Amino acid sequence: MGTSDLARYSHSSTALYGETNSALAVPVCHHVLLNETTAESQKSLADAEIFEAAGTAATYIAELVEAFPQFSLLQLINSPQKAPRGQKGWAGLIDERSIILQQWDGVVLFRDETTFTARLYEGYQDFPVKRAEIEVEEVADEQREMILPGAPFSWIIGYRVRAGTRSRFSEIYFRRLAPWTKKEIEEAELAAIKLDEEAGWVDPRESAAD
Amino acid sequence: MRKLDGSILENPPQIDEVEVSVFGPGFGECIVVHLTGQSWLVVDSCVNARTKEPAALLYFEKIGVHEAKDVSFVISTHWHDDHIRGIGRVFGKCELAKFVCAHGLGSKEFKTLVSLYSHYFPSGGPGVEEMRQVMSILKDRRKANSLVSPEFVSAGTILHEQGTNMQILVKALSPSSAACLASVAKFAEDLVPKEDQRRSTVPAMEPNDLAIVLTIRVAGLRFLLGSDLEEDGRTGLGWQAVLERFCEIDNSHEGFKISHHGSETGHHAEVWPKMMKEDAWAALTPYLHGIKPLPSPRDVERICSLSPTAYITAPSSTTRYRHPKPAVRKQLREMQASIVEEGARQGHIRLRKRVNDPNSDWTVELFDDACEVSRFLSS
Repeated sequence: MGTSDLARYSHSSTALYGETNSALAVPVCHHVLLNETTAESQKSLADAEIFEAAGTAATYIAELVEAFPQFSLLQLINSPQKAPRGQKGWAGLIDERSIILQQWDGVVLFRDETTFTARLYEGYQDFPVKRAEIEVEEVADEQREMILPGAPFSWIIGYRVRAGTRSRFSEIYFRRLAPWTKKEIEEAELAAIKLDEEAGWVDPRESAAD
Repeated sequence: MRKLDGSILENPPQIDEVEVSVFGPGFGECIVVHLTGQSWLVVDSCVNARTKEPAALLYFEKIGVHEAKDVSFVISTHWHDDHIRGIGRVFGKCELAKFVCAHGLGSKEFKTLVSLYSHYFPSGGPGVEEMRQVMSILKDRRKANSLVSPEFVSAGTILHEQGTNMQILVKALSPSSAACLASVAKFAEDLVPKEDQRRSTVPAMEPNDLAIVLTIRVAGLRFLLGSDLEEDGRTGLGWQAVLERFCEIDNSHEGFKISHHGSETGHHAEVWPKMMKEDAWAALTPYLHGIKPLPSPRDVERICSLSPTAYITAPSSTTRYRHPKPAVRKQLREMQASIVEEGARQGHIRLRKRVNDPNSDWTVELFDDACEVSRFLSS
């Protein structure tokens, strides 16, 4: 799935949710990812990203990360196109925006009953590596079963500005990634065979054994 | 062993001087070896915490080595995250170097694993991403020269032999044949995901049976690079397989890059008495990623009892991370969430010895956070 797929997804979501007034529980996606390169994802965030969407930042991003598991959180969130504030057609929604102070991609290393330990990334080049110990109760009840070693999640800390008030928030949500498919595995096996020829990545003893 | 104070990092080795430089930032390890003349090896890779550049490339730049033509081999002893970060960039710069990895990584199972996970960062992690980069570089090089290919090694493979009477020899003492077979089976059974399986990071490959241990000889001088090879008593695997096959001929090493960050599982009681000289030096890197940092206080005691001159690239303790934004710090405090940095402190151990001078002794120079292991003895 490439950039154009994501762009299509964003536009269609806007159209769908914008036309109905049942968007209270569902975010409206305005952001179009223009660049999926690694360089883009490594862009440093010197200043807080102002992020605007109907619904919380977390629900907005949660939907995107589920739909596009191959993109990192930074890739998804660093859209240069900002949503227009006060746009018509969102009846029933309280105007709300979030100021993102920090965003991490995380992977669970291990957990016990009350806490879990995770590695945090701000991009592939991020170093020194950060490791966090977080209380399980910081994760929503329905997501706690997903706190397993190897599970990817996203963590955002920021301010939420809603109806003239501002409050600090931390939101952790686990990515409900689709399971591996037969097609993906078959494609990877074909790519592996191509590597023999293209990269010379073949051990003569392995090919003799075959 | 002579410790030099006030050393200048930028001083390159003499033409007849062997050098072993060990870099370690607390999460990562890289070794650079000068085989005399203009010949260098890079074994594994880690990055500098400040510049985020591979430690080997930064060092070559400082001492004036032209890595494009002077590095003969870039060796990835195994593909764990802490030994491979930046190896793609290192191999990309070392234009004439041969890429070396363990027999077993040439299997179709491993290639499938890399193909599957390389699109899913951070699920794949640096291990997969770096291997993908190396494969990509090899693809480009093969377009110009179809003979370019990686070298897959196992116990007994001679990587480099130069001069009469084996004046320079680089030989792999592991992985054993049993380890290679077991690892390929593990790739197939446990690591390559099955249809409908939950998507997560690449599962850890433990114990690390595929690690490449190297013995290096230059004009009678020998030293051993232990990688992360472990020992858990399984027949035909780990250090016991190395001892069974090689301790009669590959012994009298004058130095040892200690295996697996000095852990108990990286230690076999017979390695020091059978493969090392009595006063051999030891060098190691810490590992701060696990539940318990390595080396543990008990490991420190053992290492100091085995070697009179043991050095570590950085303390085996993490550094608390202080977020630059006060509001985030306040939020983290309220959540009682703690964040540490695993590679904030780092150091460089440089060991050198002239081979043409019979009176020459090893010299050691310690840079940045590198220090004697004995500093951490609990008493």
